Amino acid sequence: MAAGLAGAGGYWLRERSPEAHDALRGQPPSLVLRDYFAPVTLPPDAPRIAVAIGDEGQFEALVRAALAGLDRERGVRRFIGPNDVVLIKPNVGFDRPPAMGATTHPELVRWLVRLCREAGAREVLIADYPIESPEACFARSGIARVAGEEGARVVSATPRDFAAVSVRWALAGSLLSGWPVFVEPLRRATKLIGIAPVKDHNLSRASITLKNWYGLLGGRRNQLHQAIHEVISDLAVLFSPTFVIADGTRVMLTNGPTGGRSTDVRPGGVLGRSVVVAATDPVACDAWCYENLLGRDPAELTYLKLARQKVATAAALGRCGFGESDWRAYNRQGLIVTTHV
Amino acid sequence: MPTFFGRRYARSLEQVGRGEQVVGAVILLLTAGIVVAFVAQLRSGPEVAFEAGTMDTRARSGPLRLLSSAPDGWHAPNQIDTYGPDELYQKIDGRADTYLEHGCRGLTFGTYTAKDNPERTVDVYVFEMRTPGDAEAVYRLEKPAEADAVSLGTGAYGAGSAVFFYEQAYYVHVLPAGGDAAEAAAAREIAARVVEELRRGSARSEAATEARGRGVMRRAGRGQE
Repeated sequence: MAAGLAGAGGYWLRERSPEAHDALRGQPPSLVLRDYFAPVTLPPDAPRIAVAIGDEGQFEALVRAALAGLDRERGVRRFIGPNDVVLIKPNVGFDRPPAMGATTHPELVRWLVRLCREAGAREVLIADYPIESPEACFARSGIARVAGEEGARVVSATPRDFAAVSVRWALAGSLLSGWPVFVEPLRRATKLIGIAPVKDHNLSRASITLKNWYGLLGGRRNQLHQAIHEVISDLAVLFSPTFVIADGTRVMLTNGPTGGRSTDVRPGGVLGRSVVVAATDPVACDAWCYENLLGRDPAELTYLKLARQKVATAAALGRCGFGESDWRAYNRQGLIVTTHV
Repeated sequence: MPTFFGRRYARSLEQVGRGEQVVGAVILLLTAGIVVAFVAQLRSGPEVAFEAGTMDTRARSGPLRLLSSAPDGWHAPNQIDTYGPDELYQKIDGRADTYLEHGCRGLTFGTYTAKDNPERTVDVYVFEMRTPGDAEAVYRLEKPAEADAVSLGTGAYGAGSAVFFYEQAYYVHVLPAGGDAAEAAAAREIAARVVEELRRGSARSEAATEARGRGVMRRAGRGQE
């Protein structure tokens, strides 16, 4: 009996270890993540990027305008329908208050949840897997409070919620192949939306919508820093969201991804006004934000170049979605719309 | 043969069947394995929580003293987190490499809370670097060109309501959650108190943060004021 109790106790403790899902590494990937963009039917001339520019505090107007920009006729209803279970993935990676710009602004999450509800979503889930205490990060970011007020459910991660996933579309040799991913909310969701702050990043130079998926990786993910550009570009293929949103209400221009100084953060970055960008092409979205909000040249951003190549390979093999790192190409085709609210 | 409770087996050991011996050996091995796994799990746990004063180890009391003094109207942190070099990424993922390149040996973190509103907070990050030169180097690396100098520690500046300074081999961030004047004033006051404690040797006299690694310390009762 003593042995049984000891065994049960040991198992209980082991299951609660944050590194428990490391054991998944090296196992054959058993799961292929869903292509959440596949169910969306877009006209060929539908905008790929919709930019909303306004003043500080205009959260509702900015979110509504950005999403309306993606589809003038139906807005968010083009993407979210009745009975959808929507998973929103904000960046809640740090135990820092919203003003510091290290995390997604909670008021943008609030309005995104409401719009999903207005479109008929049956349930809205919010998930992230911060390395720091998730409870503290969700609380300090204000997103736990907003979720509670809006009737969305924050999905907490337990080690059992992770699984090794297959990096599809001929990305053989990816470091992420077999890496544990927080799959439980992804399994439940029928639609996936990433919403990420626009930040300078010490290692990858930028943390925007593609780097945001890093937050669903388990294990000792700091080990991935050695090949950060490869990993972020793999995320562009591993995750195929319904759409993404870049939060440019407070852009972290320096000392990212943690910041801390008021001088590190500016509304809209080099643009100087609050910005929300919605996009069906996350690669192009990052490129647009990198140039127009962080004020840097996307041609020099390694992960964008790699992502474009990988997404093109995946598309040739049948994956949905786009991967245009040259946002100007979209601009020339009239596939970028800008709204001043 | 004597056994538990003074009972005696009816059979001698030689009479125990081979199958029973195998089953017995498996049970013993499993029990030993479970005990070893249990101990290993406890030893490798990511957090060690303890009450101040209940463990008389100087290495652990240092951070509590370092962040023990709060201005009027504020509570000192009732929980202190420490991170060694291997765990630094858990607190500042993506930024940790810069600090490690500059010889960071660990981080002590705590949050001061306003008595009248627990949502008003001031976070304090104390990075212990290898040398004063390392502390100065990372301080200068992150310092904005237009920062306002502040008279504090060996070198300091203010950025909005936040204060950044270095003193000896320590580089310190004092970050209010908001930007109002009261929080800014509290941040300056807290920063001055941390400088005072560093000069008293509250951190240096103890074992290095590196040796402490990941830990959580809680004060017995409310934080000092």
